[in-house]
Amino acid sequence: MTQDAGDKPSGPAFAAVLAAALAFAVLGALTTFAEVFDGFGDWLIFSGRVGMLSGETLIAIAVYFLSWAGLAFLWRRSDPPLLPVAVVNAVLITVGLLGTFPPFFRLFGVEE
Amino acid sequence: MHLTYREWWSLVHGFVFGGGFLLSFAGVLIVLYGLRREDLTDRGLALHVLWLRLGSAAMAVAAWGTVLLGTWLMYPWYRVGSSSAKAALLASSQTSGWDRFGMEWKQHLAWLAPFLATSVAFLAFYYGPRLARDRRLRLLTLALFVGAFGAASIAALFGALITKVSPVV
Repeated sequence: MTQDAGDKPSGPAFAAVLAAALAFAVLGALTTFAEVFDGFGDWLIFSGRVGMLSGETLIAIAVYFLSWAGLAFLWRRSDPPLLPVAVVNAVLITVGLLGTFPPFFRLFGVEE
Repeated sequence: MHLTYREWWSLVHGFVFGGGFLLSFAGVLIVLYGLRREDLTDRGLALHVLWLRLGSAAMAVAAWGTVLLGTWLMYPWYRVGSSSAKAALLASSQTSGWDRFGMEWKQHLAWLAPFLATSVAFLAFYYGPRLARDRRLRLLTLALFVGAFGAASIAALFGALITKVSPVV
């Protein structure tokens, strides 16, 4: 139950951490691009009832699990340093927060 | 006293899953914050790790349940139709901000919670007792955990306020 992880590489764990931030950054980028470019926004309507949010979130979910799997495979035996991972994580989350914040994407002159 | 079909699902979305996530936060936070090797006996450490694993996994499930129901069930009810809650908000400049700012921010920000909560749960299962010895790892886990809670709290606040102004019925 409490088997120690002292001998386990940290790569797979950091993969999970970075994948979460990357998925949210992608969600932020998609949200802003969908508002700025009409055609792209239309493409993101995977479900008519849900609208653009359907494509944005499904792509973010796919990015989350695929990037987690990919990074975990790449780092399965390695120990990436924690500080750079934490910094990249913070930057990606900041990108996501900005991209999903309505006053930010309205800076680009978006009109509904 | 009567609740419509949609109001029942609103309860599941906002109270069972969303409320469960927010209410669990304090308990799991105390377990995670107190997970320090020097302060715990072997049995105490084992129990803390068990509670952290169970609590973080339950919170991850609750976060996914909240956003999936919110996006794919509640949101279409909110936005589709000439008499929808969204249409009612947009009909007046006094209330349109609840949709154009509140709902637009909430519906995206909420997705940060399941991503971060799942990572926290994975760290808890992967590292387990090592979190008690490694302060930097514990701080990283705490930061992700607080981030998940912050995102969920803002989304929940706007959800409650928007529902008060223009409920989905």
